[in-house]
Amino acid sequence: MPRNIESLDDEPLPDGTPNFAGGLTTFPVRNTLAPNQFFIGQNCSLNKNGVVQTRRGTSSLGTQTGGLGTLLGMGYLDTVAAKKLLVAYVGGSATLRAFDGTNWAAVAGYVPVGGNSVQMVQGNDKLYLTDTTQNMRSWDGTTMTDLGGGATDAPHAKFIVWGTNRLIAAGVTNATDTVYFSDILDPSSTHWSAANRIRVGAGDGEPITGMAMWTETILVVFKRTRIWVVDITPSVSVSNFTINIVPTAYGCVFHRTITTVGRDLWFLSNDGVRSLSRTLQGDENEVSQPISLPIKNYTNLITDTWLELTCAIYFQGRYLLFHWSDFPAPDGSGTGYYTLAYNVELAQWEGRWDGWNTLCCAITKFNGQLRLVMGGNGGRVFYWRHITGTPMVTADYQDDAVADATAIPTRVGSRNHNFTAGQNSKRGFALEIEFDNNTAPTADVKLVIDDAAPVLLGTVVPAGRVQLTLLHQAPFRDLAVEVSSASAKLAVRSMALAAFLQTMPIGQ
Amino acid sequence: MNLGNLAAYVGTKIGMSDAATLAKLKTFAAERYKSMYEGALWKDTLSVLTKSAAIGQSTVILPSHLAQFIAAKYDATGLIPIDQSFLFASNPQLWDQNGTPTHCSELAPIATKLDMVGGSDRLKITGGNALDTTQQVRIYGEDIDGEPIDETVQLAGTTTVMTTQAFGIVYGLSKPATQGTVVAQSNANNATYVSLAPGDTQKLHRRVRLHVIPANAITLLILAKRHPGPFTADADATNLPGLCDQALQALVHGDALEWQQQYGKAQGKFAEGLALLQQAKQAETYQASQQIRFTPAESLADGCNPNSFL
Repeated sequence: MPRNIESLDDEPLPDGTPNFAGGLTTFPVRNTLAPNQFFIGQNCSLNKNGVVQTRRGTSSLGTQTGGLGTLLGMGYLDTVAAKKLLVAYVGGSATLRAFDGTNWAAVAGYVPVGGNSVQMVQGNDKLYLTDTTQNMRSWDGTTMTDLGGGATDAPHAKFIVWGTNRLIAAGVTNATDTVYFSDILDPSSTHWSAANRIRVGAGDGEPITGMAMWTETILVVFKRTRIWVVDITPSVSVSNFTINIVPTAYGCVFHRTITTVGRDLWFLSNDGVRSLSRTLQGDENEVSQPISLPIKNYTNLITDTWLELTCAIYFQGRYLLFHWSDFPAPDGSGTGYYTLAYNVELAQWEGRWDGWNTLCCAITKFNGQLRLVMGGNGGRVFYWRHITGTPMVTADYQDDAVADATAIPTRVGSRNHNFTAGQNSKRGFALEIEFDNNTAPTADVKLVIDDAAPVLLGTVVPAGRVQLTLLHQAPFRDLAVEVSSASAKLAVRSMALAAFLQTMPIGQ
Repeated sequence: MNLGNLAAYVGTKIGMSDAATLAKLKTFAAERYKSMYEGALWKDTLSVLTKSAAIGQSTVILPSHLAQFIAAKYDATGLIPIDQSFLFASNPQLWDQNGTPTHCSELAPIATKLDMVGGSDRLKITGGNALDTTQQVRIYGEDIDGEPIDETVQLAGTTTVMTTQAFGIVYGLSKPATQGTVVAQSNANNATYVSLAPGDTQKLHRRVRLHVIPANAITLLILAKRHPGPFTADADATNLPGLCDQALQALVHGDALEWQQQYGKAQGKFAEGLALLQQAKQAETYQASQQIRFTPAESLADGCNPNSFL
């Protein structure tokens, strides 16, 4: 807009990002973000003060043998007699291995089918395993038991859950809409009566894509475009279970993406991450918004082809969605394995993490330590060095990639600042970045002028408040700032900018 | 105060000390310093040197580091500086006569430290680095008949390339930055006309014309003003009286404020800087260790009488 300048000295206009508590928001246009939202969060997490910082790193779980190929099954057995993590390698040489808190060892009695996902669930002091093709197995930490392949034995299922003291299975190849129930407290051979089966969906032809226990007696059955709630109260015979459809237009894309978040179930649907509670509350009259709407352009990168490389978990206040991204992302990152992190306590997405290659995960309690354990492409098993209150060490901000510690690159990209004068050209004046506690030796500061490619403004030591001039930059309408580091911890508290408003050239 | 300190000082005052700001302040300082240096005949900028003139040598070429010819003396007599157009009108024979020089005038500067060998010569251009193959050397001047000519020569690494034309005088010989030193030599006798270091783009040599043309070899004492030294690196210091440093700070501060679109505030700093500069110039005069006073004599000088003043 035209402007009238009376004073000799020009008054700079302020703008900025006072904190980052508004979370990672990548789906809306960059210049429509709220002042405390940010646009790029490579390997970023948020703290309660709205500081965006490098996520914690990972360490290898014990001393592992290399060359085992892809890991596509993981379960944690927690009994009085044994605490063991069981993992299934299905790439390269298919095998089972177990970790007892100190050492890894091969497990005999079951060889997974190469390439098949192995689902595991604990019930009745045993870990149950299924891979769709072979007979189901149970494992008590020592002995692997075949549950049989007869008509009244455990089915060759794709998914299993434990609920109301039954082992519940689904995803059988020739009965894709059928849920199988074992006898109470006994999923062993001959305890899977034909009467203990229900079909979900009244023969709609859509296969079951996942199941989960929501409450003590409510089983939720997911298909790709539908959700059913089944009351499996033990006092009721299976044939009399009540099946209610949830009025939605979406379901779940894959079993492993379903995770319990408090009293809720979160899952990945066709249009992003959704909550069952919100679905039930909000979908009576219209389709509610997915939780992942702010980062929809990232969840859109998960294509149908690779849905079964997706899994999720809730751990220590965070919902983590691990996935394969089939296309380059809007921030320029390429195809690969990524983790989308949602801070449940702050109710914000906080970052897109790379470097983990996770295909399955579990929570372990070895030696009383709660840990998130992950594995996947590459075959190695890691635990996340989440914040525990112990003093920070260098390894907390490194990934234990294979054998050597790997630096974690961090990149924070702000929203587009337009100084509340979106149509006017501005001449930059100054930028001040306030850093929090950092261990990164240097940080690159780049400018994104009018959505062009980032250009380096300067390399700074990230400590305290760092001022940089913008006077030598070309005029702009929108200006975003990116701060990145190659290693260690980068933490950014705020960004303050100032610019001079310029009048429109005559003729516009 | 050196350039780095000056930029840091002003950067602190305007609250910006990042690399881009300091770089900009240094460009402001370099321009202001150049302007201040050239704006007065500071004592610290003067040099005295001796130059010989052979029999019949009418022109003395000064070294390229001298920016301005001021005065010359021969033996116990100072040569009277004279404007050439006035000379042509008032006493033209001084241009051609041989004898003992009594006057001098300044000719247009040239780009070579020697006159062209034989009155007209082709130039051999040689780079000092094999990587210097894309840069061009630009030469312009006059041929032996006074006709303007120019030529562009492409460097060929360390291989010598020669101009196609013969120059009677070279007014300009310039190049961009190169990896090595570029040398222009005489095709006739390999004498070096000019040597340009990698960062040099051109050199200019002031010339003094003697009137009359020396009939005997003489040695001249020449007073000249030097070019300002380099003022681009952090350690480079000014070569002017102390008060000039204060003036330079104020002026650069004003430039910085203008850069920040604070034009009103900048005017105050410019006023401060100019006042300090004026004081510096006055100090050059008033704080000299030797003061010359003119005292009227009690009687008239020889050859004068009261009517001389009527």
